[in-house]
Amino acid sequence: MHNNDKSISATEAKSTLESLAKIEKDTNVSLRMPLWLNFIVSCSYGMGVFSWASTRHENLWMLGVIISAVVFFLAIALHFYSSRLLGVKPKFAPKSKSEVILGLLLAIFFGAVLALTREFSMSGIWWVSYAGSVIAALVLAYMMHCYPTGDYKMGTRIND
Amino acid sequence: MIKAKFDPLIHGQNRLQICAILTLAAEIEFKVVRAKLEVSDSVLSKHLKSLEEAHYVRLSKRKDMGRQRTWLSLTPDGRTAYSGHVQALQEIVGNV
Repeated sequence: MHNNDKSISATEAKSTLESLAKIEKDTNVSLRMPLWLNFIVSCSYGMGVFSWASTRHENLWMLGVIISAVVFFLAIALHFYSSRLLGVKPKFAPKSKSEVILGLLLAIFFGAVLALTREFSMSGIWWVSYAGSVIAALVLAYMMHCYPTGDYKMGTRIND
Repeated sequence: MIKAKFDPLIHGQNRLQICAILTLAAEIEFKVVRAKLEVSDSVLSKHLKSLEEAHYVRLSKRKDMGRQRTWLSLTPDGRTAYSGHVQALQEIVGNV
């Protein structure tokens, strides 16, 4: 063991960083939601966006919002429960700066998609509700698959 | 802002890897970390004891579904030390 950074060579530091990247990548992959569950979560979210955009006083699309929300939260709860059985408790709240930044960006993005989809749909552009729901579902599926810990730095390392 | 600081306590390969794994989740069970590191119970316990004494890792033994499980988590001090250590390593590599 070395006592200070003077005794660590650049080569040793590089190999240490590489071994860290490898174990982070392996752990990240094992923290991923199964694809079928990812599909259910993303589809229910996309369905929720579509239903919200299509909701009017005279129709029953609000029921779609409720069903989508129930399916979405049940699937998330199942993921947390199964992860716990496997010995991993995923993070609820962000714990680092990079996680906070990614969380905020995603919140703004999904909020904007939800609001704009409904706004354009209400102004008569019917296809926007389809496009908005597909975009929201695809982005959510991608983020859950590539950034399971909600940290963009870890996600970048996956693709190294 | 995390400051780059080389920490000899966590520089050992296993200890650094323990911190790297724990930083990705809120809590991870002992057996999962052991399987990832491919070490024995005693080796992992020894490293965890050192990290716990430095207040970098928190060990929590809880009875869950009728059996005892040991959960490990990184404390805020441990998270800061790990991030600072990784930054210090990156600086060393960057200064070639």
